[in-house]
Amino acid sequence: MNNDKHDLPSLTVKEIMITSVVTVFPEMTMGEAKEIMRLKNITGMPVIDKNRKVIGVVSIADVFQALDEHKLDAPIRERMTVKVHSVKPEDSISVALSLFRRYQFGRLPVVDDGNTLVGLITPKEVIAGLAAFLKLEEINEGDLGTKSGSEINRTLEFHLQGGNFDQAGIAASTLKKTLQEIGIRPEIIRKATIATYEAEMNVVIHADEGILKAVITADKLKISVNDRGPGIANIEEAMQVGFSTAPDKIREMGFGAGMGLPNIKKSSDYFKIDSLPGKGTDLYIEINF
Amino acid sequence: MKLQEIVKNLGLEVLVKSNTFDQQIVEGVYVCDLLSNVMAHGRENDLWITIQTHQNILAVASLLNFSAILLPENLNPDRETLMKAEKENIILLKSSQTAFTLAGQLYELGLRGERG
Ligand SMILES: Nc1ncnc2c1ncn2[C@@H]1O[C@H](COP(=O)(O)OP(=O)(O)OP(=O)(O)O)[C@@H](O)[C@H]1O
Ligand SMILES: [Mg+2]
Repeated sequence: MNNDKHDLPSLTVKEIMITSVVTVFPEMTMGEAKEIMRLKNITGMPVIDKNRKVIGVVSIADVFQALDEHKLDAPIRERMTVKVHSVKPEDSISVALSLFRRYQFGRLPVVDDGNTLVGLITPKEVIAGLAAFLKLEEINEGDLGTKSGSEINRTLEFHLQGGNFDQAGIAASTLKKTLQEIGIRPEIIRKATIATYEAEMNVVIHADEGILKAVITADKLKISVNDRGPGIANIEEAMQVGFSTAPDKIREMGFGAGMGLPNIKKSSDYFKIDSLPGKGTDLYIEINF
Repeated sequence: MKLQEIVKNLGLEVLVKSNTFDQQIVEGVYVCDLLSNVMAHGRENDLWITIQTHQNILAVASLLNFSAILLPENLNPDRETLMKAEKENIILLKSSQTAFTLAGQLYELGLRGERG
């Protein structure tokens, strides 16, 4: 590894950084920060004063924490990260690279000697810069997207008990509330709610127990439901509208229309279901924001 | 249309009144007892008529932002349904009329079922 290093210093931060940076002021609220991140589809921003000096960084993780503590009204100043790592325009790309590796930052402000903001880099710029440097033709943007998307995630997890109709719907309603707080569009929330509810009910109705996990990233919601139960022998059949093995007692309650799985599929952008008869079922879906 | 107006016009019995009862509006009506079908087709601010009386109707109504649940034919909600509706602020109504008659009356008030 070490003997490759001599190739990199010729590439500087200045050559790869973004120069039009989305920033916020410390007196704005966390709620405003959240809105800007949502609208600009970004996961963090430098906080600057009137002279463009960097005084902190506010990330989506700070927003989530403020949400949890019902502190969206608080000024950014009180909630931002003040210990900011930054790089200089003339720094070599390997300096940035090692900071990203060491601290798992999503972004680094680029400042001049007077700590004035002049740009920003994320791992994406580093990789693109390196690719250009190494004359790699194409970089798979999708791979980069998932990488930077996974850093900002928030995870909700629910234990589901077969036959427990008292608690049924909790996963869907908790997730709905969370997505509303983050400011996700109502059409998307509707899809997420429908899919989660149906997946949750399928475990309650058809399986013994299961775990529903929802991961919220910057650009999508990923839901996985893994259960222990009878599984599904013929998935193609189970996917058909109207197919149901729900017993009469359950049907009397209005379940068993055989529409749950089709509803989930219709609501999601990616849908995968695997099952081992006698063991259980694994469902995985994604809904794009 | 205001839910209050509908309650008065149709002489509905209010079993559970949420704290938003006075402002609650109704934009459409949906009649169905199959919950997954309701999940797929119910819309925000629908008045939902169903003969299901168990507590799972509350999750459906709240997940879809229905304005209220209306039980026809003098059906009574289960005890847990009643208690949970109070706790979760979901409006529960009942009537002695059938779903068909109620739907007809709501149609005459100008409410529609199809969605724009
Ligand atoms: N987690 C699961 N474990 C075992 N079997 C399942 C599971 N999920 C679905 N199934 C099987 O697939 C069938 C179809 O599921 P689907 O959700 O579409 O309809 P349903 O649950 O029967 O009725 P509805 O969802 O309309 O109330 C079920 O009847 C059941 O046989
Ligand atoms: Mg189902």
